[in-house]
Amino acid sequence: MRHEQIGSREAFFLLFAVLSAKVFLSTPRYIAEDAQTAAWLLIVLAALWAALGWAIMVAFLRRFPGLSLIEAVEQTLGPYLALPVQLVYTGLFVYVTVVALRQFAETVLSAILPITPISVISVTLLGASAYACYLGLESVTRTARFFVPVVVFLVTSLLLLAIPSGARADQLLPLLGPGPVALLWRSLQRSSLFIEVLLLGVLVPNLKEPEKMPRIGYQAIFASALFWLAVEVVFQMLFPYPAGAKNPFPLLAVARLIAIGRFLQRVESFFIFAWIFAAATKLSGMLYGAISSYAQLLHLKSYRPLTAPFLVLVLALSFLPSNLIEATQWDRGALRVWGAVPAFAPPLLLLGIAAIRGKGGRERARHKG
Amino acid sequence: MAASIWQRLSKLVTPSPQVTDDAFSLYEATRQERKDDGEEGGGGKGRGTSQDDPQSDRTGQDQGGDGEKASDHGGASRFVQPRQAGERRGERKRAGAGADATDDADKDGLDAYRTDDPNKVPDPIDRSLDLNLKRLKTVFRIPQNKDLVLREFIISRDTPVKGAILFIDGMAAKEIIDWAVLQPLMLLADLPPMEADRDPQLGQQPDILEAAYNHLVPINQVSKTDRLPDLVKGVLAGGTAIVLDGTDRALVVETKGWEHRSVGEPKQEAVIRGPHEAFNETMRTNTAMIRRRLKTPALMTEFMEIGRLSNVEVAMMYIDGLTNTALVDEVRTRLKAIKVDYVSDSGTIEQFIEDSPFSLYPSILSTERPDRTAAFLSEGHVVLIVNNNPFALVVPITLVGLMHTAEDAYLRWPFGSFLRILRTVSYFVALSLPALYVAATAYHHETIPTDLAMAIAASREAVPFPVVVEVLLLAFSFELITEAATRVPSIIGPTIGIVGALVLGQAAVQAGIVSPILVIVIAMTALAAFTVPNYNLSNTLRVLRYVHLLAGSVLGFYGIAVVFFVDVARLSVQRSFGVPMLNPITPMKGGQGDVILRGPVFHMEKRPRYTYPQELNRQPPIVRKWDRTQGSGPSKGKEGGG
Amino acid sequence: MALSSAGCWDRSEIDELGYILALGVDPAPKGDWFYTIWLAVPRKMAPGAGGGGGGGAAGGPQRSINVTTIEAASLGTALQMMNTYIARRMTLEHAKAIVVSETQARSDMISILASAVRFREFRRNTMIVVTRGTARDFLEKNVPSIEENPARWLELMLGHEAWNGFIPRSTAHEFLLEEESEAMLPVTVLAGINERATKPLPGSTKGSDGKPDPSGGSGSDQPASPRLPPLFVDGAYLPGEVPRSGANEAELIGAAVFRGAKMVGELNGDEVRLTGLLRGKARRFFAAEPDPKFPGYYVGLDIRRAREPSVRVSFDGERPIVDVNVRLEGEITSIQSLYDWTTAENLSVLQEATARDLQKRMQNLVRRSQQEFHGDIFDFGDRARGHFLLWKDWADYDWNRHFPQAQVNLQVTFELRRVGLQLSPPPPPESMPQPGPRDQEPGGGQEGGGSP
Repeated sequence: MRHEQIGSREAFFLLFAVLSAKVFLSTPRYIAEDAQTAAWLLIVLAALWAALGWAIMVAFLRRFPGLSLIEAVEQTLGPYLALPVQLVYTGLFVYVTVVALRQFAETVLSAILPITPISVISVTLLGASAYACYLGLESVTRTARFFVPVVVFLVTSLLLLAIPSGARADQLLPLLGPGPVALLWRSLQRSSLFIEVLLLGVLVPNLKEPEKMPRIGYQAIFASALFWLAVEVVFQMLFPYPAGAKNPFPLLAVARLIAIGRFLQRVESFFIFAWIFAAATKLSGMLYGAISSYAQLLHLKSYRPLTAPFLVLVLALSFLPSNLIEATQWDRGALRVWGAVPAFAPPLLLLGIAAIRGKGGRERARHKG
Repeated sequence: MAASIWQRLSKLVTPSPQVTDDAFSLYEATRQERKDDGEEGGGGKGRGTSQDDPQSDRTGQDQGGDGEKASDHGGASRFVQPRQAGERRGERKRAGAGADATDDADKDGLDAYRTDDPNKVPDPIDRSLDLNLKRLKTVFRIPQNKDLVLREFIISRDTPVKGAILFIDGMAAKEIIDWAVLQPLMLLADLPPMEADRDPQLGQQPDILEAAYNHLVPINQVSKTDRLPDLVKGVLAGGTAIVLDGTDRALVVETKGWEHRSVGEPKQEAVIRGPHEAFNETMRTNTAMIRRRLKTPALMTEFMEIGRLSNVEVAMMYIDGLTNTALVDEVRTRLKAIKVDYVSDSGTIEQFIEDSPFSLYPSILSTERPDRTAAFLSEGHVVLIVNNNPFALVVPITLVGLMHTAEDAYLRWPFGSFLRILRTVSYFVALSLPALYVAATAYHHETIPTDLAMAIAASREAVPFPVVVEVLLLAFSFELITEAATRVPSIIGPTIGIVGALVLGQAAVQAGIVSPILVIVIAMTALAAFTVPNYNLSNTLRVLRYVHLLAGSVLGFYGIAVVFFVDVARLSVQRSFGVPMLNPITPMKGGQGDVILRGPVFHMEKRPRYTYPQELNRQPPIVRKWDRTQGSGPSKGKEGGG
Repeated sequence: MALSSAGCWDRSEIDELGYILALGVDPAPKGDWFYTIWLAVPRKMAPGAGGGGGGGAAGGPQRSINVTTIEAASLGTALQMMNTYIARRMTLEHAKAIVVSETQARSDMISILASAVRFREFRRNTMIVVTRGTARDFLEKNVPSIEENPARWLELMLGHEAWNGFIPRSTAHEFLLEEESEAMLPVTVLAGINERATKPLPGSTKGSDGKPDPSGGSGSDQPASPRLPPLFVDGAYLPGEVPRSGANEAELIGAAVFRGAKMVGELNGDEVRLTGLLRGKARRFFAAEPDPKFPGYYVGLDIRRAREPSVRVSFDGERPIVDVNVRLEGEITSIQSLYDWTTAENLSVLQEATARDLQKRMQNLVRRSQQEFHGDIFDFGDRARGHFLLWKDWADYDWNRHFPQAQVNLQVTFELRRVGLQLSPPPPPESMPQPGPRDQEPGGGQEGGGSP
């Protein structure tokens, strides 16, 4: 399969976009519910756990230089045993995409366009993202590279404009919220908030500088954690626990509060742009991950024919939850609690297996390569 | 036909996916493909080929000779064959046997005289003047063709030699012919032969052609040739052919001189501070204007002729040693592949050679300013100048480059930056202001401050249409005005302005067809569109504006955001000769302070990388050595002052 | 184009909507509600369009708003029922305030707000106004004297927190947050209709005997507010009591204090100012300080917040100890007694007196908050949070429960920095009445000597 090449900085931006888009959804809210006033601390800890998981992934992938995650799994377990593990990864990507799509569509519906049928929103949003996917990895990364600064700028200005509307730093106290033990445990669970970093694992053969891959991963994890931290802190300063944790659309609520003088009010509609850009880049990145991983699993020469089937699949799955609460539950209850396990555990096991097999893995790679 | 429509639509939406973004390695791939396909060019897809005309004048038979009536077998039928039974329109039977089984149609009967294929034995010039003249008359359809002037004369020497000149009336400068060709040949030919007049190949005999070449034709550009097609080409280009009896060579002298527009002001790219010269329709003037600005021997001008009927000269200019050779080769390849009958405008040539002809965005820049062209050349671009056309083509180009004007560089850098920011903002205004207005008033009413919302609501109460229709009406009217203003004869030009202002402005508002706020919106959009310096790009914006408008009217801000995303996605894979057009925003290759903002000119040490020039540095890091505030210049001593 | 002009789901033309500028809620006897709205008439509000329609023959809106009331069970149904007689589709997008009557606020405020907040069109930025009397009365009688658009009047009024401090800034957002935090008592703006506004001020017209008429012409004499402090303090009024005449009948001054979901008390304008000072929100206002040397005269002062008040909370066992230091600075704007207060030692006398005065009033207010309202209206609890490590501990502690026993140490420092554009006042003329009670007849007064 021919692999398009992307540079490290573009890969970083893509990863950042994919990891950070969730600040637009309900995530800041249920983090606040988890960690009460210490939500920011939860994020930091979760990022640290995720970095640990990434380190495991890196250690595993280092044994197979130049190969992507899917291919490396195949090297370790052989083509038949590897299939379920590879499908797990593809499934993870699909799941993340489905959940993200549904939540974004619901948010747009609730906040901006209540009467429009959700299928219109889902189809247009996913269609635009699939289009970018189809055009190629270059398109996906370059749109990310283009829109990420825009999104960051808009969100920053949103936060800054909202602060005068009553942000109080004291609302972040008491410091430790639910207590250190609870924090640690919950942050371990919530490290699954960062599993989108797996995308980098799938993209290894597409990198121009594959040796920088670990660094890109860490940078992306911490950069998005920082971004998220800023959002969470401002959110909690404006909507302190416990009242704030009941708001289903945190960033929208913050945007609605903006009122500077008589003129600059009710401007949340302008932040739709940031929203949609973030949503589209995330969806296109994750969709690409799903399609590409599946294509690698099937050893296809090109991933493009799979775009349409995956589009339909993701759309269909996104209509399964019957309401917003259920959709959020899919995300918060299932994915973000247990997601770290299928994401990071296999590399750990496989690392063990590969170590047991000794150099077998690498030799086999050399023979084939 | 449905299949072809589908093909076209899908081409609009998806370019062929590129494999790598290394500029110019793409060329390797495509060139490889071409080599696999067979020889370059070709592409005979059932294009009409005339049958080998057995009556073709290959042998110089007397066909449309002097004095004959114009018959059906005259010039016309040699050019176009009547349709045979069973042929579909536009298609012809491929020539079966025949000496040349190529599908090149021998449209002007000149194939036999072409010199591009060195293997073909061209028809040589005969020693007999009569025979040569007969052939020339046949080729040029003299005396039916009144453009040509054939003047026979006698060179008076001890043995008089008969000769003739041939030129095109209107293209050749007749004074030069009279004074520098006919006068010496007819009056001053009585010079004794000299040693130098011997043609070494002919032995000891002095050759009259050598004598003419050496002594008798005092013109700065003279070429000797022994082939008829060269004569023909030279005459067609405006030169004069001098044929003499008794020698198998002839002379082509440069006597170009026709009526042309003088160097004027740029019509599209005016600046306040900067030169006011623009290219005109004479290629030599244009190349000269560039030469004046790049006085280096490394500046290369390569000629090509495009179009079977037009044979228009296209000059490809680049700087040897600086411009990437792969780029030069690719441009040359694409130009040579154009095998059409007629092309004369650089705009048409642009469509033949661009990367994505089905995309809405241009990927080649056209400019009528020589100073800009010279600047582009110095940065490693390749420039194409087409005869009879005042617009030069610059490849490769990025979207950011399309938004630059020459003035940004001539003004001091804060004002250059200011203008650029203004232009960037107006780009987005021109693209989506009507869409934003429609979306805000139809979907997101809360965004508008209350007082303004009341004002808009009050003014719209009288209007019968929904906002979208209003916007479309008004936008359409503006397009009408723009187009009419371009096409209107200049005598009634000012009237249009008055009519437009009256109709659109006052009357429509007072009749209650549009609301006054909308007039402001549309007017601002139009103004913003005019600040975009590139005409192609502003047309793109014009079209995309309606797409955005549609999206905004159907789905509000959400729709506009999605359309914008799709737009950027499509733009991010578009290339201009292998260079991604969103450079240097992404992929980043370093803009050297000249992207959106304009930095100080003394900080721009490197060329933009996206042309992959052979030499990146263009000025040393410290240019203003005398400026003590900048780096380590030699101190000027105590009297240096500040 | 057909698709786009036919109307796509959420699209609505801007002139098809009816913009509600203010919403009033009153309880109705059957258990449902009376909703009163201000409905904008855009034609009247647009610039240049306003004046023309005034002389129309029949009907037609005269003002730029319509006031209408409807009885319904919920807000959404009310808005839809209004469409039985109003052609435009109602929208709350531009609503500036929600007005609740005092009776309702005293019984249950939270259910109204909490359900409103869930509604998509309702914005958390909306101001909450509690009015003495009914909301309907307030909205109907509110005819601003300058603005064509009463919503603008409301908007401008509600921005006065920083300017004069007589009303707090209370949005639905802040109210709900403070309510749920259970660490302070939220306040809202208090409003009312001043019946006396249509009549001349008492004492300003002369009766038949040439003496000033204390009853102010016709109408009954309203008793002064019982809580007015013995020293005459401008601004210490509740809505409906401001002694003035003319202009809009509606007034906004003071605040309503809530505990739980119910209103439990009122603050007058001056008390709101003091609260603002203690919370660090009031920035600047004018005050009239009784002249320390000449009772009956006043010194006009421009008081500004020098720095944020420093609030420190410590604990003595379970009992909180709050140390508050309010730092103010200011400028003299007028001296009525013409005594030269602008010398250095006189300045310090004046600032001492002012500081003491403010401190006393603040102490009264704190006591009122502790004993009458049983809670903390000053948000001191925020500074106490840092003493707890776990949220659970803080929530269990329940600051509002402990605050009434708290020991609050107040300290006010006031520095007079400038004296305006004139240094010493001109010497008082011989005939100037001696300092005494102000309400003697002008021109009279034999006691007292010449100038001091």
